[in-house]
Amino acid sequence: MEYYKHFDIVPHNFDLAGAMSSDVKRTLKRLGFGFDFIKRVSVAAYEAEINIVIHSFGGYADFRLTDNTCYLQFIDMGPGIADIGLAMTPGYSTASEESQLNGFGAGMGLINIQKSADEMSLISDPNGTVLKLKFFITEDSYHAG
Amino acid sequence: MLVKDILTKDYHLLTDVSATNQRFEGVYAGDLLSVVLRSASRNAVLITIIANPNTVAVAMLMDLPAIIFTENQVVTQTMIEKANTEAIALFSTSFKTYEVILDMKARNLL
Repeated sequence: MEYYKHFDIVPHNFDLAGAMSSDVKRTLKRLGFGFDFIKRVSVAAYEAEINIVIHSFGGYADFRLTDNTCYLQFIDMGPGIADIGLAMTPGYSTASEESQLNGFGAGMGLINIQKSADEMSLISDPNGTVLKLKFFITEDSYHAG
Repeated sequence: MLVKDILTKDYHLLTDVSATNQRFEGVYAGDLLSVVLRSASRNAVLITIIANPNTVAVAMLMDLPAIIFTENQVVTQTMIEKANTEAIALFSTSFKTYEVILDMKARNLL
């Protein structure tokens, strides 16, 4: 199995936010994955997508599936995460008031992503942030949860 | 329980009737979408004051069959159309979140 899709993510557009993760979920469902696996991937995808919408100058995502791994990659054009350690602290958030009115800014996004993914790498500087996630596909991934 | 059992004169159904024939199991109340993503159980009805397209996206990601928007939050046509596409029932009510829970409990829906 080999599947690939690219998504552009528009900053500050709360109406479009969730389009990428919804698409990922639909694809996984169509391919017969179980609820638990779909939930882990789509929750991580949603949180990462929302992070780019809320915080970045814009970016994109790549979704790739092979027989044994599901890859998600998110790249944005800055302004970067000033302190990744702080950003990984539950409850810490730099989200704007507008984001909070839209139900975001709980300070749980990166934590939810880390808990969902099997492997996560996060690199950030003022020029941008690169988040790479891996979800290993096993027989269990196809079991309905 | 079926989603349509929620309906009384205090709840307005905003979406197509077809989505109300789905089953639901319990509710989850919350306004921070990341926390909803973390904690809501599959097939739960979401009770929230956050009315925007992302609320519908979260329900879709979590397989939630219905959302109850409390305190007469304004629900846009975009949200209604998105919910209809995803077969998610949207209700609006003047109740506050805790009043919805008390009301559903009193009617043995929980």
